[in-house]
Amino acid sequence: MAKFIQSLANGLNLGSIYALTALGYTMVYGIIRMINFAHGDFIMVGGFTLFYMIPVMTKIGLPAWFSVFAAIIVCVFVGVATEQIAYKPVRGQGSTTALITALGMSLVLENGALVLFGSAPRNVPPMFDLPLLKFGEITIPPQTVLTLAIGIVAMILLTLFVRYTKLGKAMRAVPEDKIASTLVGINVNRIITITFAIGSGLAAVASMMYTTSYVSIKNELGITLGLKAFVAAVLGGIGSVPGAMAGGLLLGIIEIMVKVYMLPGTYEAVTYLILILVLLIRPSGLMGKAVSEKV
Amino acid sequence: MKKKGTKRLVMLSALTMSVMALSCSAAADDDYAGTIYLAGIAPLTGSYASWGEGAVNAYNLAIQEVNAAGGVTIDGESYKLESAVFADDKSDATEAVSAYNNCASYDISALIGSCASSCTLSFVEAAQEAGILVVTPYSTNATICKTGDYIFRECFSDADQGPTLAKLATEEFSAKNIAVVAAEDSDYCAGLAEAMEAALDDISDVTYEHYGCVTTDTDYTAQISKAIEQGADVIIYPNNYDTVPNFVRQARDAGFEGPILGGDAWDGTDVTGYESKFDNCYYLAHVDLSADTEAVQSYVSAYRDAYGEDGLNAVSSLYYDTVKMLVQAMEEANSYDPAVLKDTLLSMEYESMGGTISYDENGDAQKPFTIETFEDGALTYYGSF
Repeated sequence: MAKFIQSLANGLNLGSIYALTALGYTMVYGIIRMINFAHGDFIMVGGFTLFYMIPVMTKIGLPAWFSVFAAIIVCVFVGVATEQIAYKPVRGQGSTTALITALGMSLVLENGALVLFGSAPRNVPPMFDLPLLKFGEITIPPQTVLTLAIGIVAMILLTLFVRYTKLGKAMRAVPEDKIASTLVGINVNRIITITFAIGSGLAAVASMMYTTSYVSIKNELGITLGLKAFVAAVLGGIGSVPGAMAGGLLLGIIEIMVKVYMLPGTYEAVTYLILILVLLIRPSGLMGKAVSEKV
Repeated sequence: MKKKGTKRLVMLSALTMSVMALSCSAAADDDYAGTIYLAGIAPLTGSYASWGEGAVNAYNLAIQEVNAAGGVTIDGESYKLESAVFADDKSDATEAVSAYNNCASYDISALIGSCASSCTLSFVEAAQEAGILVVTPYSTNATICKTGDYIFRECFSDADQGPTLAKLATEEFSAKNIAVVAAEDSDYCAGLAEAMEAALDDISDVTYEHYGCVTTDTDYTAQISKAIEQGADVIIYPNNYDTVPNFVRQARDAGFEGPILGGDAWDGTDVTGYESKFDNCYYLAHVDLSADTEAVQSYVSAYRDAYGEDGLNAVSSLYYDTVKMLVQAMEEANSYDPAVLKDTLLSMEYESMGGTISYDENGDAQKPFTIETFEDGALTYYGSF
């Protein structure tokens, strides 16, 4: 029993990272119907910003986690630049072109980071000095609680923002009908840029929580994390903000449980099997709306 | 018009100068009786590019040093040592094949490479058939040198490393109950774990449990909680250095205080920020680069002068030693023909930075094991086997 509860806690920790990452995927997909495969690499960019900023913050006497603000600025810059340079020119050329451009951007960022930072894995110094939470035999990593809390707060804020603000309404209008949105005075390009800014800012927050849990970063960090978060977003229903949260947590728990009780070396087969099954049986995911694509 | 004339003059003089420079280097080459070509393979990009960075630097450093000391002496005549090509395998078995094909297209005396066992395994059969002498500096997978008589290595084999790791656990740390966490998608990790577990099977009153993982994993909490449940007194983690900080940190956070042991791929582990977690961690190494010996010190200072701190690790020292060992073999054999060199290597001894190397009939290097540990995060010599 202790093992089960411990695994549940471990699964929540992993899942909350997936959830934070999946929020970024779902945000961008929800607004512009594009899967931004470079999202995982934005997290890598955030990770390296933290790596370089934490010593600076400590030196000038600020708490180490303040460096997340630097990471947000850098990630938003990289995200918006990616959108402007790579995605905007191919917008309107179909989803396949957008998808391939996103994959290409992902490679550009990974290899750019290789040139800039080298390939040696680096440890991001600890940002929070939190004690381990112990309940009898069970140890809960403190960052689990923090990541979960940040994820839930982000989820609530995003939902409120999209539902109730004027900008949020415009964001919901754009995927419905781009031309009609323009007609009612929505600047579609600006909305898309803002969406990317929010998605990339979320990536910076995710990078803070990722590096708190998993200390070592390198230029390829985004590949696996991005794929898993994509599975999580699809599982939860891509485009749905609460769905990303639920899908992330669920995927984390499933992965850890499969590792503990079934196949530790081949658990990823199960992860990707879930992706295939969801796409086959319920493509709209757990919480997504089942809407047929307009032709 | 006048302006154009000046431009022409500048171009002409530049041309003359470059011709002069060319003829100068040609004159220098005339001092040699000929040129001996080597080729190298290492991951210069990809997940393990930090191995390749040091490898290519050390390889070039060794070649420069050989030439600065008058080249390779064969039958009393001096030959220039040159690198035909240094190819990138990206730590990927498919890329390694094209890297090999690139190297094999030159007339080389020996091919030095590669790092990841999966990569080296992908081309050794082709090399054996083509009669190309391969010396791998860092691939320890036990099957590599059994491919044929043209295949050698500078590092120890997992057939030796596995039992040594088992011995370290059971003799040095008196382990009775061991947990093994090894990546199943890597020839190196899986092979080393297998060799070690085979050795543990032969030791009485020791039990062990094997837990798999993948090389791209970052979360090991599942395996660690099972190891703790099993009551393990030692955990053996024979995986690559990039995953070690995550593993060690998670094991310590989960309350595991016992020794954590690793293989030679721990070399290059970053401990920054988590120094205290690395207390009571040990791994088998090819060389101790903090050793006070003449060979190590002169290598470390020469490398630092030329390339700085980046890539200065055990892998680089192995590439350096491989070049130097091949040169010694050529001079002892008075030949740079691979067919001759392969026999010379079997009978010679070479003083590497990590100790004396000799070869068994397979071409597997017999050399001492160094045990490294961490003190306040600093890599420290612990002992040797």
